[in-house]
Amino acid sequence: MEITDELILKLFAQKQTKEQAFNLLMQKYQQDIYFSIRRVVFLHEDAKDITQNVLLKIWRYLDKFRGDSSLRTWISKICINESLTFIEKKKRLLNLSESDYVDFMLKTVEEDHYLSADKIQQLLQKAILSLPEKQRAVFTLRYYDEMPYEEMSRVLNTSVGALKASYHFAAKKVEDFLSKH
Amino acid sequence: MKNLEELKEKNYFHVPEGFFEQLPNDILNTIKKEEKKNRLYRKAIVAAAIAAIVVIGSVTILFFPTPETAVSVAISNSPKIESFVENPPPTNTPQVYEEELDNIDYQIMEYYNEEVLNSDYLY
Repeated sequence: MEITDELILKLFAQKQTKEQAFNLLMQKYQQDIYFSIRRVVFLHEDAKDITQNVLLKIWRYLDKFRGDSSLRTWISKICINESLTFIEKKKRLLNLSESDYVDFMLKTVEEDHYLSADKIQQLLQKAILSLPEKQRAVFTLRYYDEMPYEEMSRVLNTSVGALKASYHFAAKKVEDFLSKH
Repeated sequence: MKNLEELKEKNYFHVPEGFFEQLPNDILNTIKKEEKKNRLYRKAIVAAAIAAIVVIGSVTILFFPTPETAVSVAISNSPKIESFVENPPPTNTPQVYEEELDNIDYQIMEYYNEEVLNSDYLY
């Protein structure tokens, strides 16, 4: 049976089937949630914590979801906001500037066991990591998730034009990084 | 250099084995723990509210008493007043004894007795 968003929302609205609905939601979205977070924060342990926070927030607030956008868009918005908030907190906690944070992450990423050993892929991830985090979010949503600009606009509360420009500059930076290394 | 599109590999990030199988259970356990904690928290708030009402009520009665309770509290708090209420001192009204009355007094009393007894006001 296909798990539709309508079915999840209908079951979630009833007290006796709320947990069942949430299980279906996790079955359908947990990997998308995890990987969309992981692409922004990079490290598994960080992505795991944020994924748990996102799922707890979905549990708490899904009954307030009004259906103004699709459920996927709503979830993506929570993932991006939580990831960016997490990075800000981490920078403050470690007392790191933007460039120090990138250097710190590049070193940490090299030691992460849960990354592909492919050298070209490693280089691509380093290039993505060197982007400012908001631009990184734009780049990963478009590049990996192939999210339409209109949907990205709802997720990031930014105009379509600004997002197109941001993605264009991000892609250029990544290509420049790859050609230099 | 390869084109960006050619490098698009979705499984660059690896996860520990069984991570996605375990994640729903972990989340549901956390939710259950959180809800239990919330229930206890709500009960604690109700208990604290009741305790606060009792304390405020007691303080109000003690420090802002009604006039009746103020008198009784004042009496009970002061042994002097209590003994005064229980054993009032003799009044200063002079006591008149029969031996001090003379003849004229008896005449006056008799006169008034008759006046009063004959008075229509009594009937």
